[in-house]
Amino acid sequence: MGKNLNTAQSFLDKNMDVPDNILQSMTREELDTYHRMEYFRKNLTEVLDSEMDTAPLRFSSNIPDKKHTVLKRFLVLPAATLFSIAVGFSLYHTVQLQKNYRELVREETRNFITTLTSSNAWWESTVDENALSSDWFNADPIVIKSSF
Amino acid sequence: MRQMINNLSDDACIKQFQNTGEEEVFNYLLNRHRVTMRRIIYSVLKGSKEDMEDVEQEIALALFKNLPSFSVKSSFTTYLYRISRNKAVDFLRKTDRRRKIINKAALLSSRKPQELPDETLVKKSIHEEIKKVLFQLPEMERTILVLKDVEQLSLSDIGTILHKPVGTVKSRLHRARLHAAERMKAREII
Repeated sequence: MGKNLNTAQSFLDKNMDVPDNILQSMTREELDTYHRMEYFRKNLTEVLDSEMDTAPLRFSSNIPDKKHTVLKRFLVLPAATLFSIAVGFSLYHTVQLQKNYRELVREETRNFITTLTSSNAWWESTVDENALSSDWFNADPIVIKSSF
Repeated sequence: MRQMINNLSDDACIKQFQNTGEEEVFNYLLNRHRVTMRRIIYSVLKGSKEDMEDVEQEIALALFKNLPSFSVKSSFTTYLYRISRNKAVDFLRKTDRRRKIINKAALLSSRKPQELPDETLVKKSIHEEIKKVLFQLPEMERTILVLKDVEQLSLSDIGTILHKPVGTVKSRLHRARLHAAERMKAREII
């Protein structure tokens, strides 16, 4: 940006008109840029205002009145407290049940493993005793005869 | 009541609101500055009128909450403009602006142009072009242009509103004006 444009902008910053001697010392290109800036600046207010809604703003804070405060204190707060207690108790109950159930499963598993390791009854009962004492176990040795 | 408030300065209105909490005083104070507030919001939101109302309500709510603890030693207008700009910027970030703008552009292009008298048409078209130039600029430059060239605030006040040093505001302002001039040249406005 040229020095003249900088100087011109400094006048605009102070809401002052740019003196003629500065405008005259500008190059053609600087002068065109300056005119565009001025045009934009002068029209901007009109452009914005043509789009503005002139209706006044209405703000309501909706602050609860005394009646609401009493209602809140004597009805809403106790109800909320009771609800929290009920939810808390049911949650506690569920956790306890789960804990008991886990303990039960663990106990059963422990019993089962003890049964497995301390006694061989489980496999004996699955094998037929006749099969163990049958001749199948006392068979004659196999003799291979060669024709050669 | 209204007559009484009309004669009060901003500081006196704030004090009265702090003492009594009267909504009428609050609304009066808010409406006294609504034009500037709306200009700032409009330039940040790139002209979306439907979003302006939401932002205005957010600003009013924030102000209503904070005004009881506001110190009258600081400038109320600077404070209000800062809230306005910040709320509008937050809103812009939250919403998917690009999608809305595309939809709006599609709607506008599909509309049949209304018949207007020549002079009004020319003025409207110039306004449209200038609006397009403004909305092409980055948000910070748009806000600085509005605060300086429309509201004629001092560079130091703008610096306070935007949390920027005066030197930065000045250089951004000069750059914004140059950018606007370049875009006007590109669009062959003048």
